[in-house]
Amino acid sequence: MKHRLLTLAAMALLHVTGQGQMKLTDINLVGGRNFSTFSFKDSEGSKDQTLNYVGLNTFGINFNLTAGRHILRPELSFRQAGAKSDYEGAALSWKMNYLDVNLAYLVNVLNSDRFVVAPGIGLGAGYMLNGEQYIGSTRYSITDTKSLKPFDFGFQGLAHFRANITDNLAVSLEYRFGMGITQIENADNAQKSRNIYQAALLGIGIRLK
Amino acid sequence: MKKILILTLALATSFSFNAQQEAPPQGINYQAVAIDNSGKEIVGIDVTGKPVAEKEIRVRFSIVKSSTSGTLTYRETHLLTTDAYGLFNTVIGQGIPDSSPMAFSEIDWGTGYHFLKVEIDIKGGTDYKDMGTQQLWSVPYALYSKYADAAGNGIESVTDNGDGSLTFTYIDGSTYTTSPLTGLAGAQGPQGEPGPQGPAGANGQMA
Repeated sequence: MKHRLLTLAAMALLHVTGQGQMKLTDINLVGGRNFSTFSFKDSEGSKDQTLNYVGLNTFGINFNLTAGRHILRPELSFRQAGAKSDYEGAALSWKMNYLDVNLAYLVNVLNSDRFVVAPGIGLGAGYMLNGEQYIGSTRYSITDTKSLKPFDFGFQGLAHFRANITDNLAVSLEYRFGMGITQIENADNAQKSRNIYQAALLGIGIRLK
Repeated sequence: MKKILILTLALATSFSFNAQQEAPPQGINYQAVAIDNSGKEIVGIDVTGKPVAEKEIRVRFSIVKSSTSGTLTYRETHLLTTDAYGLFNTVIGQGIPDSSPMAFSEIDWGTGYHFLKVEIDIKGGTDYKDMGTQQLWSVPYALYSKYADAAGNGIESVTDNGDGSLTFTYIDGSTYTTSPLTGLAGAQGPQGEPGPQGPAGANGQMA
């Protein structure tokens, strides 16, 4: 699965860079809600079914490099990840703050100057700035305890909707599904944790001529 | 099967005594933290040794005599609610007797060693897990002091046996008879009066 995604992303990147000269067309500020959880398997391979999504935040800045219908979009963003669960009546929760560098490839499927509908895929690398875990009322620092790895590499599926308001201004709505392609558990045993998230982002963009 | 660990923070066995009362309060303070030692693998730090917070638990106390596996002297149960940290407080002696051979107030603290056995069911039921048995040690105010208060020195009566010996009968029923007692030698008396003048002697012979 991981290798397929990487291959697909590499092919997309090669494809879009082969489309001729790319041009910086937009600078966008984006932000919204990030509904995050984990995929977790314990040391015996059993999946934790009690993990639930938790609503957190994400925001960032990205740049559209456009060549025809193809958009290559580097992005710098802040993303909160985590999850919630419970065990024997005690609340369990996690929250981590990541600084992400993402690269997305989108294809504009509309032939319109006014609207853009662009599904896409992306790859991202995140660094955990800090994080915390609660077991009941007890707080643990994830960064201090090093219970999770600081780096999180992930894949994204995107659905981007954009309206060009004026020649210089655009607004956008984007849905993202993100999934870790490397597990972040730092345990010595065979536990495996991956970040999973679904985000809805609003954006405002400056169109460059 | 869950393993349960109970961490005793403090076992304050204060056999409080109030001189103005006829008998001391019938109870022993007990404070502990209930911890569910059954863990779970989760993301990040796994759950291990989680306090049983804000739960109804049932605790059974047993007083056994002579050894950890000795004779059951007293047993009672308590239905308790832990706080946010799993802490609970109770008074042993104020619970509900559970097949106890005697009342708490009838325990003969004056003879033999006594041990406290603690069992707990963190579900609040009667599926008790043995938390261990430990000897009760001396405390500043002992329940046994009520006997001292009643008899002053633990002696119920003293009997003069007529042969110079005495028999002490103690409050626990035991006795002690002394050997025949004799008084100490008296002090030396004062010097006597001078005696009367003696008779005149016989006449002597002429040379």
